[in-house]
Amino acid sequence: MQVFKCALNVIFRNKIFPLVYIVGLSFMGLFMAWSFDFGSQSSEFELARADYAVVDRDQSQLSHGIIDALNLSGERVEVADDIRAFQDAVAKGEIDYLLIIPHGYQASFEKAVQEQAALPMMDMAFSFNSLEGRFVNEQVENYLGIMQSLMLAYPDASLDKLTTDAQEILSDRVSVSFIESTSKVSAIDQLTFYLQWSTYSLFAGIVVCVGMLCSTFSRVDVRRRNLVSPLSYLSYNAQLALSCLMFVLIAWAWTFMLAVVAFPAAIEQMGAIALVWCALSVLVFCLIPLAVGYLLGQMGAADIMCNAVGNIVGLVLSFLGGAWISLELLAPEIRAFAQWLPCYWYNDACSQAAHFGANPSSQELFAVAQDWAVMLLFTLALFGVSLLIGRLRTQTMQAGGNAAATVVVR
Amino acid sequence: MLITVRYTLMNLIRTPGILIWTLVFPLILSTVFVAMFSSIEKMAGEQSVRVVVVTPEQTDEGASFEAFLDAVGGSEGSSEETPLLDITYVDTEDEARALVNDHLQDDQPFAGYVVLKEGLPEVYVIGKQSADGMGSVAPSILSLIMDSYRERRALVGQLIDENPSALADPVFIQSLSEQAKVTQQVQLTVHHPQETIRFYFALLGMASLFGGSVGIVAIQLLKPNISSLGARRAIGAMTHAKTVAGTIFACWMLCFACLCVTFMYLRFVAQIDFGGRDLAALIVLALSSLLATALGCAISSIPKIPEDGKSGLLTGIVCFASLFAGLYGQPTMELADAVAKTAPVLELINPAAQISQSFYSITYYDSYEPLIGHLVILMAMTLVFFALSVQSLRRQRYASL
Amino acid sequence: MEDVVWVKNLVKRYDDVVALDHFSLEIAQGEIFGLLGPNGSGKTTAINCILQLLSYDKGEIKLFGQPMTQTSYDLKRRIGVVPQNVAVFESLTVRENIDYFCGLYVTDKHERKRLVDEALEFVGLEDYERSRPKKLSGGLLRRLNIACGIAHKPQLVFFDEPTVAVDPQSRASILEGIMRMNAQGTTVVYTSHYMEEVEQICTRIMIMDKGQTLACGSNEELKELVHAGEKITIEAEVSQAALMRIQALDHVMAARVHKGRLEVTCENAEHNVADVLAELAKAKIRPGRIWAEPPTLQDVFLEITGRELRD
Repeated sequence: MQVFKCALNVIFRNKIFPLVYIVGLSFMGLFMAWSFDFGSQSSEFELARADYAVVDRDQSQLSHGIIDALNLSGERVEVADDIRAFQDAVAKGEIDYLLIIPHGYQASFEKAVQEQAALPMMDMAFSFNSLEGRFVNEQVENYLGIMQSLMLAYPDASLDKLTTDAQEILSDRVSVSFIESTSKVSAIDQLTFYLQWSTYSLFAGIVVCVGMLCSTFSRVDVRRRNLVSPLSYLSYNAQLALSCLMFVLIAWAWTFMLAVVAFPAAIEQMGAIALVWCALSVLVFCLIPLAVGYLLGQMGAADIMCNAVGNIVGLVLSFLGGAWISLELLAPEIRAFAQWLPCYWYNDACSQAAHFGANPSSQELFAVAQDWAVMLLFTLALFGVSLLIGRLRTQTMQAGGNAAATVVVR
Repeated sequence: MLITVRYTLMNLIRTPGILIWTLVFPLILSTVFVAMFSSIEKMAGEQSVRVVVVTPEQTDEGASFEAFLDAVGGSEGSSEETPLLDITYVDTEDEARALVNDHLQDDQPFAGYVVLKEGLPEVYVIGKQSADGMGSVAPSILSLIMDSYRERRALVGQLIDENPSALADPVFIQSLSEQAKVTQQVQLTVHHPQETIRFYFALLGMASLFGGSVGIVAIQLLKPNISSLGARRAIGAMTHAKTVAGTIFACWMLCFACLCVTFMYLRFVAQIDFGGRDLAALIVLALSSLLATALGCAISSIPKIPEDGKSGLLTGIVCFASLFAGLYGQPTMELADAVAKTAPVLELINPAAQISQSFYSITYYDSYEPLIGHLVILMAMTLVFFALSVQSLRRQRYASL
Repeated sequence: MEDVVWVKNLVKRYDDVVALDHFSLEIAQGEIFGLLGPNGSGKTTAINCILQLLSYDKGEIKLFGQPMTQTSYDLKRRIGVVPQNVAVFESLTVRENIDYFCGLYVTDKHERKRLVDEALEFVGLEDYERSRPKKLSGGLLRRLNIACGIAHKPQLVFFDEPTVAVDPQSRASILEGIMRMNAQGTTVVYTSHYMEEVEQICTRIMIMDKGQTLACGSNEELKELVHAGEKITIEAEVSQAALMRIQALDHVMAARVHKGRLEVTCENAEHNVADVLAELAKAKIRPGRIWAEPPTLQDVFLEITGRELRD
């Protein structure tokens, strides 16, 4: 097993790439999956809570009333009364809404109501989302609208009483229920999100390492030397293939074991069959970067090219598979194009397999198997092209000797 | 020295792997971002909540509710601002439910439906739909608006008991039926806040730093202990300082040119607006590319690491720095902001974060002061990297057998 | 006239290993100086020290009568180097490579263009000026390597095994070119393991080993240093008695019969062939074909440096 051992040595002497891509990026995927909220919704509707900031220069009962009203359905974030702080707060999305209550606002408001004039204005600013900004602003306008109505209805009442009345009115809510929908999200979706993201780390890591290995062994005179030895052609290639496969298995095992350890809630919800089929889906996908790495090796690509192809193609494929943003949010043309790429079928397989019940039907199993078949077709096509390129390259090699090994695609 | 600049540039441009990291990769990533974020920006710009309303019965309460909806839904005569509710009327509750469910996968689905029962609105909303955990504030807005109807109805009820004469006051009635206009939106930043634009800043940070691969390759060709070509150049009649300076200048030019192409692509194809301060942005790019060149030189001049592993080292450094500049999605952006708040020194020493923050300053702040601060930090990092490179390269001027 | 290259008591150590042990060298203007030595003898170390690519522990180096340092750019302008490995830019064309390296020595653009054209003509690469190195055969690559080292018309050129892996035609062309350069006044320092090349072109040869000079002189002078003289081979069936009589002859160092041939090694003398033939005639042995070879440089080299394998 000399070839096998030597090949594994070649990979592990260049361990910076597996460390950065397989290990490093998988942790990044973990972190991102943990950061998103995948918990199942509660059975009762809860009003969204937006982040807001109020710069209260008035410090009056009215301004405190505005803040109390906002507190019913929002989280106040302290922001310094400074233009730079305002800019950072809205530009970085630290808050959804910023309100500046000017000095003397209460007095102006009371006077405007008494004189039945236009109400005084306050400056406000939204952050990224207009709707979220309007959500908070709606509450401000609603509160002051109620205060205006109360002041008109009870012109002699004290501000204390009016504020208390307003608070009482605001605390009464309409009945809100959920429509039953067909789609449910759960902890399993956190696991599938991580597995989707892993298309990037697995693709880049496997392509770079397998590509480098195959390039090394494809050098003309290294190959010749191996082939004229007593080692049979079959054994030589089988050992090389086994070393590539070994690396793929290590990358696969690392990625999936990390998922099992990091998402216990999801694992608990999934049955054994679901877990196994999910794992196999990942393994079938890993054969695709294996084929791409082999293709790069046949082309004689140097490490810089393998690195570039693995990273860039992995990034694009994972994006078009929905790893960075849900495919549903992309334009229809992009969604249609994505179906021609392997990550789409991988995500479908993982998603379906992960949601298997305890006893999945044969139809459900068949649906996932179909996705595997499509991925295997990609693998076979890539291998076919690699073999053809390898053959052509050998035939056109003019320089010969070890100098030929310097003819690489850098 | 000009001859070194010229031929170094020619050699680098013709090395295919170089342009992949400095030009192709940023353009591809930019395109991915544009495709990714266009729908998010569209959603962020949405002003209205789509809602289905079961047509109320022709009663006083029904008429009152319809009038309220007209005011909120933006019928003729309402304020110029985009109405908060975009209402579709149906006849029955079943129709309403079916319509909401049928449009769940739309770009902008219905937030839910409303039916008036015994004078009070009952609201039915959609739950969390997307598996990536993104929710929507639309159902909450709908709920809030219906709350405001309920509040006004409750107030009227209270006045009927306590002060019925108030109901005769037309001003009071007007205050009930119209939304109080008490706020005006102002723009605090030079450019309107955009959630996704900071990812483009982080992208420029990453693209800049990947220019370090140019420095790595170029310096490798200078070292006599690495190659015969390096030895031949070392014994030439050009001073070592001129050779190194010419090489660095060529690297800088190439990095800067590639970054400019990426910038132009973002600016004119992706329509990313840097607050109208394109010249300032180009200055940041010039300094970023110089920093990247210095970083590449520094990595290339590390003596004990094999030459093959240096591009991997650069990749690792850039990916890690970009993580803390917030490139990899919203969670990492929040992480970057948290780190900047709790441990600002970490942001100070992260070149990707400093580049990203430079663009942020240009786009949002009215004053150039913060930008100058970031540029000073970038320059300091550049000088440190160059100092380290020079120190190491001086020792490696000798060939070793 | 002062020496072009003057090295005195050069010492270079790598930890416990002494690569150069009080090495001295003098090369006069206009010489083609051959520097020979087994692998690890210190030839490349000596050249790298002279060129200031390596630091050294002790000694003096002067080129053109002036001390040579890392910053002696005026001296460097008068030197050319053709290294053993092809040292060119893979991405630049033949002309661009020559132009670049010439540009390290010659700043004037017009002058440089003329020099590059002459260099292309000198090495016979005019038809390949737009080709890139990877399109060139081994011989053409070597010629490009040479052109890059001599385009600026240096007064002193170091050739480090310039004909490795090159076909006989290209090799002959390269050697011819070197001799033409020398005829125009260039001093050449030439290292090679191909003894016949060194014999052919070098005016003076130094053999070194273990960082020290073992012998130095012209081809003839070196051959006189060793015992081995002529090697005579005669096709003949020689009896044992006749063989013993031949072995007893004056100036015969060794004689044997091998595969039907008599092989006799003699010291330097005038009548070695006649003496051996006389002995065969006495034994009534009729000789067939006769070869008489003077001692080669390889013989000299092997005798001086020994036949042990080196690292």
